[in-house]
Amino acid sequence: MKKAFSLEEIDAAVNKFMPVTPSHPFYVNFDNLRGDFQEREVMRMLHVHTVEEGYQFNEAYDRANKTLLFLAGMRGSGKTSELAKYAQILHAPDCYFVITCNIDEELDMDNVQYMDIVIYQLEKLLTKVKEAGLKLDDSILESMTEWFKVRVKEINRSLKAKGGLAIETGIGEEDQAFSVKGLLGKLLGITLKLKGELSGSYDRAESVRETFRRRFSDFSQKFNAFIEQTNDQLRREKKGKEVLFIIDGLEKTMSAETRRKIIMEESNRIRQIKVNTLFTLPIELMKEEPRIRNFAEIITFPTVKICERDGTEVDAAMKKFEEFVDQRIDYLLFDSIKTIRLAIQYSGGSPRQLLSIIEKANWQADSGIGKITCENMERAIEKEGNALARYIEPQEFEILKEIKSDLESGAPIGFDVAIQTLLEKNILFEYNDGTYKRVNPLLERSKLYQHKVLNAS
Amino acid sequence: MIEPAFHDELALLKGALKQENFRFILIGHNHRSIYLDIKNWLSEQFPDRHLAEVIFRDKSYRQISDELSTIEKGIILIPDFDALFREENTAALVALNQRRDHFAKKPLAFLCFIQPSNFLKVPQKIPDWWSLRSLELEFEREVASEGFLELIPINESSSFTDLPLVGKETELMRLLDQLAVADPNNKVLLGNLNARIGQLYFYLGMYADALMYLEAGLNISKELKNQEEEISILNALGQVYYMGGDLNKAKYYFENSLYLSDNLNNPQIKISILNNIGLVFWKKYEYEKARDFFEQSLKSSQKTNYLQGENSALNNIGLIYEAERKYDKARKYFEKSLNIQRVIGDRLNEAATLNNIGETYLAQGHNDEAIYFFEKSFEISQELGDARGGGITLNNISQVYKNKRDYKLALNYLNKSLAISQKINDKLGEAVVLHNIGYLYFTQELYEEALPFFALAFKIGIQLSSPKAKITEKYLNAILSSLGEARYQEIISQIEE
Repeated sequence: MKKAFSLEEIDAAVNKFMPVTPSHPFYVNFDNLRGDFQEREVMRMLHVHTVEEGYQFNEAYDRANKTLLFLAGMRGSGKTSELAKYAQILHAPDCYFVITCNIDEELDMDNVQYMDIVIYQLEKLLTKVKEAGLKLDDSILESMTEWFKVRVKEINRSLKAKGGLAIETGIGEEDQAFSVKGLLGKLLGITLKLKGELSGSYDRAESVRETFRRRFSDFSQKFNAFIEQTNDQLRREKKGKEVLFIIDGLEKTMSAETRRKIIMEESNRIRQIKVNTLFTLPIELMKEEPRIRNFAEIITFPTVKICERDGTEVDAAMKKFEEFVDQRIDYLLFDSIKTIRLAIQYSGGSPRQLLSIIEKANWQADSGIGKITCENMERAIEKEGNALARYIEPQEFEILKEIKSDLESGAPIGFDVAIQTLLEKNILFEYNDGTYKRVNPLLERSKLYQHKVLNAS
Repeated sequence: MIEPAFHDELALLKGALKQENFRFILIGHNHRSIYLDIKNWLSEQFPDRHLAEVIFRDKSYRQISDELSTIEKGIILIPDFDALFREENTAALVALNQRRDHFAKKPLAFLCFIQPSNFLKVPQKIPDWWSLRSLELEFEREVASEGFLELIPINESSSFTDLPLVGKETELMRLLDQLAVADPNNKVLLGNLNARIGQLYFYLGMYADALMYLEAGLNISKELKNQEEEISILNALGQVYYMGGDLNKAKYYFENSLYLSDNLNNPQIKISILNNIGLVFWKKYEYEKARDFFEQSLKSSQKTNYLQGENSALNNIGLIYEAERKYDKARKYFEKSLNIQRVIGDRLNEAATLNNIGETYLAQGHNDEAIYFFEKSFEISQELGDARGGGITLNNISQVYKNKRDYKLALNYLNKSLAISQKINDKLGEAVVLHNIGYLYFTQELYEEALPFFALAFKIGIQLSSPKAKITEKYLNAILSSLGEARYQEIISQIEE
């Protein structure tokens, strides 16, 4: 992605889903503009403090107590970019050995279960260990390999009973290659194969999962021991202090019901895996916050607030978004700063929505003029607003009327299933600690909203 | 052909596709021809871009993923994207949602065609793709219907209707045996047996026999002053005449039955009769009156929590919307009806509603979806030995193949449908099928072949005072113009001989 200096280049520059890390020229830091969210709060939970050279892991803290942290936020709020940032800034010899797992990209299967995620984590860990050239002790790897070989035999017995073909791992009883590289490669091979089986038929996947689920305590002990041994070796080789998993995409996997089941009913299994982990939390589970806090930390990642409840613009946020646009698109491609500000106002503080508005305005732009005009922007905003309105059910307009009334009276807006649905559809945006919600400004421009809510009041 | 009304939307689409980047574009459309026209338009507008069509129906997630993964760049057209929204496809849908970022990294434009009513489902069903949507467009086209399609109205089923064919025949034998040995002085038993036998003959499509036994049962019930039985039999007689196409007689019996039912505290029978009267009006194209009766039936059913009645009323209200060409709305009602049928295990009417859903798709030009539902309907009709239902569905399937220009297969299905309607003496059904055979030949400009079928259809239509006869007459006039008076009369004489 590079900065756009012509209308033709804007499309690539406003790519909506590609997360940007601090090292990327497009990166803009929205710190202190997301209401109560503070990066330092995340760092505190991860036992990290800032030093001159960067970030440092706090070695005084109780290592037995691993952090399990959920980061919750709306779609398009910038969570993935934020996680990409953490992965970059925290991966350091004096800090964490970060392993990023993008479930949505790398688990290509239907019916994803929690066991699949754990096996995937192990596979990623082994891959990273191999890449880092970490010299793990022979006996650790032998132990793990032997344990997995027995598990594969169990799985094969189960598959045979179902009339299926055995899993081939390429590791024979006679295999005597006990070099670290050899063993690590073999263990990695087994986990890769297991992950592959999870993408296969439902029966095969269930055989794998069931074998590990039955032996979960055993598995978690082995996994945890492996983690601690890896941690020790990381410190010895000065490659990091602790392993940190950043797992992105959980909110995209499974059905909402399965996700809820995993987090609520499998929480004991999640806690049995003793490794620092940062998950993205499916937004629909925010209502389970009190229960989740029994076994994990949650931090909300709200949308950037560009407008206070009384309608006044948050100058600092507006300026940040101007910088955000300027990093990607030369300001001369707009007919005026007013056009840029118009797009920002209608973004509601969502970077993704802002990029989408600019993208549509660009489609309207006349290549002969070579600029995005205010008229192009207005048209794009109106079209986007009308398009958004088609996703509102008739009964939801009644809720929007109530919200409008609450906003006008200054009353806090609570949370229920209906509000949840509106947040998930980006009909509502949430700011600060969640009590400040407002209607997506794009929607306010739609004819349907004006007719059913504004004119009806 | 692209109409001027589409130009603005297509200009937006062109703008969105100018750059070869990831796009997720939703296109609502109410007729399959729109999909085909847009596909052609794209190949003209972007001659150098790879255009791929990927069908989702009846595929597992693995198949869909593997197929999509073979395409590295270009425009992917998915004509049945909302096939994934069906409940049985939930796992595939969730998995596809999960893989958004994988596909979003590629220069692929996904053009996903859906029914307009399914826009609301997109954020719920596939939220992560939806949040990256690039554009939503909607195209609507007026479509005139050509062949006759048949909808199946619903009456409340009895414990006989869900018996398979063998079961019905066995039960019929049993009842006939019982009637043969019954005490002739036991009027109550005789009345009961006659009524049950009459019902069974009705469900087997043997209307003449049904009338005989039902009338015998009616006489006995009057004699015994058994009003409940009398009302039930009057209602059943109305149904027999309705099925035979004698709408005036049907109305007569239904109204009599309704009048008597006022004295009884039996809301269910009244609900059934209201529904049946509604059907008579529907058949006569008097939709407002029909709607009024169906809605009365629906209201009472919901008030008394009578699922059978609610099921019928919902389906039949769907028929009204269908007649008004509000296909999406019709389908909504059919689907509500289907849900109830599955809960209460009403297989006979499930077949009817599946047929009706198929018909809405066919009317909108979605042939593949139509076939899917017709085949499901036919399976059940076969299983239950519902000859009439099966015959109607065969007729409707023929229309799908006609649309696909597979005239041989279409004719095959029409002949099967005709054989059934003639066997069960369903005169109205026979007229419909004859007309459709005529139309099939007419489409191929085989006027001499078409004429006999149109002529027979017209004759039956006139006998039954069917409004469809006017449409058949139009084609007869067209053939007359083409062949000339002499040749026309020659063929007509041959038919009459």
